[in-house]
Amino acid sequence: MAEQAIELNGGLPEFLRALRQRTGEVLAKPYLVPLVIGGIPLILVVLLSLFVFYTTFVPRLPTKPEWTLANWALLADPHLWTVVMPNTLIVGFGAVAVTLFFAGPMAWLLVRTTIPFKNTLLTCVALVMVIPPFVKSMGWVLLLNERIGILNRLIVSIFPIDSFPVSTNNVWGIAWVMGLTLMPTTFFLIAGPMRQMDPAMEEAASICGASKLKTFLYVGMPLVWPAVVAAGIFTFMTAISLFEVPAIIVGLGGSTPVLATEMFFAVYGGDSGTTIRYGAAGVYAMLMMVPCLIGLYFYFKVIGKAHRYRVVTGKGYRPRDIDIGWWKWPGLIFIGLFLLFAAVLPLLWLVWISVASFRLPSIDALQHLNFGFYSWNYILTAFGGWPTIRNTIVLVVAVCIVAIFLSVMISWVVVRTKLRIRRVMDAASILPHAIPGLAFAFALFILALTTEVWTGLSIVGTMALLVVANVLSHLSYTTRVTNAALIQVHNELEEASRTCGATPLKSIFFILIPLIRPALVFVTIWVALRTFRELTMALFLTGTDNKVMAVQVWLAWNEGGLAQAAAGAVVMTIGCAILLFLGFVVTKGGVLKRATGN
Amino acid sequence: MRYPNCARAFTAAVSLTIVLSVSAGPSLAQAPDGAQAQAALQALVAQAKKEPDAINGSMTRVLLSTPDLIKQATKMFNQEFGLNKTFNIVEGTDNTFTAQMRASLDMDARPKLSFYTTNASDMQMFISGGYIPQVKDWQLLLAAINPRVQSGEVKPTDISRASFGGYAFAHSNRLKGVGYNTSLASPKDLPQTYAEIADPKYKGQYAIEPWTSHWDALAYNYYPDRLDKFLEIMNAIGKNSYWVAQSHQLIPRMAQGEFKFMTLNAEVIADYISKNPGAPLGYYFMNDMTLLETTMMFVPKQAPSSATGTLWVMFLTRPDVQALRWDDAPNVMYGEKPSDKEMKAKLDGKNVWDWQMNPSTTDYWKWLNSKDAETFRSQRLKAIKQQR
Repeated sequence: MAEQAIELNGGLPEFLRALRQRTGEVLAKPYLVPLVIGGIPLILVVLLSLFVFYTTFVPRLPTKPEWTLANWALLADPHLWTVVMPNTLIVGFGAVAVTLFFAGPMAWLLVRTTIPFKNTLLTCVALVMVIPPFVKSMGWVLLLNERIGILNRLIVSIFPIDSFPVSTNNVWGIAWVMGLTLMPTTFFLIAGPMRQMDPAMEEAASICGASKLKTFLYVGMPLVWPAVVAAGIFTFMTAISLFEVPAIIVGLGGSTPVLATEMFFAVYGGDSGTTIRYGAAGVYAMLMMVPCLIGLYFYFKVIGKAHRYRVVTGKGYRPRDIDIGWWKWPGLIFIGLFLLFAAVLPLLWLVWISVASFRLPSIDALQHLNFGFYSWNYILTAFGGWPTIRNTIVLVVAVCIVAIFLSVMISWVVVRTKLRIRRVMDAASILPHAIPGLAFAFALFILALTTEVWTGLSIVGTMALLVVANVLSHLSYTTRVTNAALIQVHNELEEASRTCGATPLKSIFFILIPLIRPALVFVTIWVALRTFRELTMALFLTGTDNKVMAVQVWLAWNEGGLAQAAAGAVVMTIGCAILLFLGFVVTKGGVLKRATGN
Repeated sequence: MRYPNCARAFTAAVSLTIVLSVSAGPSLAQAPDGAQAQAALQALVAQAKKEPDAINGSMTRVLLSTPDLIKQATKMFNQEFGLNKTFNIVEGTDNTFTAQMRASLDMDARPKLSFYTTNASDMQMFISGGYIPQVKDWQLLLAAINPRVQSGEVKPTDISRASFGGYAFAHSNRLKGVGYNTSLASPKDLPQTYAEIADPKYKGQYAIEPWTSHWDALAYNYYPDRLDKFLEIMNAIGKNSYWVAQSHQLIPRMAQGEFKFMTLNAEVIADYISKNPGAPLGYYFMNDMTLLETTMMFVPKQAPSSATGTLWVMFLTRPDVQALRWDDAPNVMYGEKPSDKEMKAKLDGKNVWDWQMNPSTTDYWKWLNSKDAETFRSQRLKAIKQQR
């Protein structure tokens, strides 16, 4: 046989023999499978981004052969650069400051220390994500609005002043609420890598006489620096693109314009009809990409020195909780304050509004409470019935599995290889975050339509299209987490498994993934919750067969049913809490133990 | 700055408002031939029978608000035409569905839905773009389906206005008015014309929606030759406003007393009160004009199950099906529900007005959306959003 093969090879022309040899070499490369699997969604992302860019040169729908630069004329308005951008930067950096202020210490307390009730508190942090941003915003309006804020009115009635100087009706108010809203995202980004830190380093610092705070600041934080930078970029970009919070806190008007509210006018308000200007959305997407790409430059510089952050090695790695003694009490108070601001107060407001409607809290209002929106039939109808609930579950599960799998593949190429394309892949994976959901969904719709025209395969209006949309848009976040987690794991462990004969995929699945499990569990929770409440794309891509619960709740709110939407949001929050606790009970703490790595 | 159409007669708009049947009561029209109408209907029903039983379409929630109402309407529909159809209604924002429809047709793909719903103001664009075919024998079909058309009580052109007759069919209306907090103010203390809102005494007391529709009608009716003056008023209104946001966000806050009044679609107040009894809210219409926007339903080109879709959009105009509407979707043109009558009473003596009423308004509408009006549009938008 061998002789026959040699003879066969010998019979081939030189170039074919070289090609065969080269193909064999490439196929033997460990990066091939992750590169191909991770590359496919990123090609899709690049195509969609290019399409969004193309729409910026088209007057109306990008399906007509027309050209214009009118969309780009938006950038010539001095108002944009002198008022809108400064406000937007305050909101972006302010939100990053608020999220890091809470997320850094809380991640350390909850995943690295012996603080009590950590599983309950972790569940509460996860639940903060379920409460829709509009609820948090309305809650803070009710608390601190200069005219109807309960706290303001209380203080004015007690003290001899005409108005309470603290109000949410300004750019700082937006940054504060935005920070509280986005904190869980930052928390989950940091918590996984923080859990994986080797306590030996902290112990060494402690032996050298460093205090716990100094150890945290000078040893702990620098080790999770890539995750912190990634979280900062991600939070900044989310903060500057989120529409609901500024729309409710300061309105759409010119008193405090930000990029997201200006985009609303550019996209919806330009004409007298109801036509959406997708091109204008595209221009804003490009504007949002600029800070993203600048941030990415610094991020690449950080992960360029990835070896500095490798703390999980094959030698003596032993994650362990730190006993913080009586410091647990200030720690609990700190976490409690965050939960009060981000969850308890908005939830109380949510419950109140769902039973008291427009009435402000008072003795008289207590006599008009109406629990009608909590009847089973009403709730089921509000959520669109069982098919909608089933669709939501299918969507959440499918998106979690696919997004996490693809992220690991992409991150493996980005972090583990020296391929030139790895930086392109990393940049491509964060692109969807810069593109407004509406423009992204429209681009995906056109791509699906093109597929249908060319192949006859119809995926418009199906669950598959919603899954693809969510997976692609979440890649920007999930790859930040998996990048940060992979950076911390030394590749000597995989090399050892490959030396023992394991294939690259086997090494990833059986060596790498178990090692970064805490980060993966965190990011799965995050993806599940984000998918559960994702609205913009679901609203655009919705059809008769792929309705999801978030759309139903939004429709109730959008059509004036604030109390109904509030009741729906309360039930959604309670439902998620029950699911998380059930998962905890059924697995005897397994879900959160895995998340915390205990 | 002035609107360039010199032939436009300003007084025509005011006098033409009287033509609307809103306050004048039902109009009597010549009844179409019954036999011909029945023949046209039978042909359409026969075609519908050949189509699949599951029909998908888009309607805003306010039209047939709950699955139960859709089931009731479906049952009546099947009984009327001897069919066995089920209707799956997609809820969402109109403009995303119509954008999908346009993109599909532009790319030679079929639209996904059998019928769509949107504002009448979009119709001209859809018709001139070739997205909607005219329904053959539409007047005969309406007469065969809608007993009030058959009797001559309602003209086919009341349901499908002259400028898009046979292309789209009215289902309900939106009327631009003013909502206010009844605990903080009464209508007599509030502005009675749109221009009065600019009075500094109202500074900080009101909110406005980000849409331009109220103000476009003001410009056409009162300042066509003085658009600069109009923009001056708009700037004052924008600068003095307390808040700019969509009404659904602001109505609960107005009910809580954050501000006194706001411009909005009047039916949203009626809707909010029906869902939140006791809310201290009311609405009224301005004396200078009340813009009426009609919600239209249509069947696009190459629509799946187009015959069933056509039957459905015409069937929804019948008085018995119209009676299924919730109070938040008034039909002041020919509706007979108590909420329709209440709104009609409030409109008594007011200047009700719409963009599809005559060639002059239609021309203005086209100019407003043309490249020539780009600067004006931009200035108008800046004024509304308080750009200082």
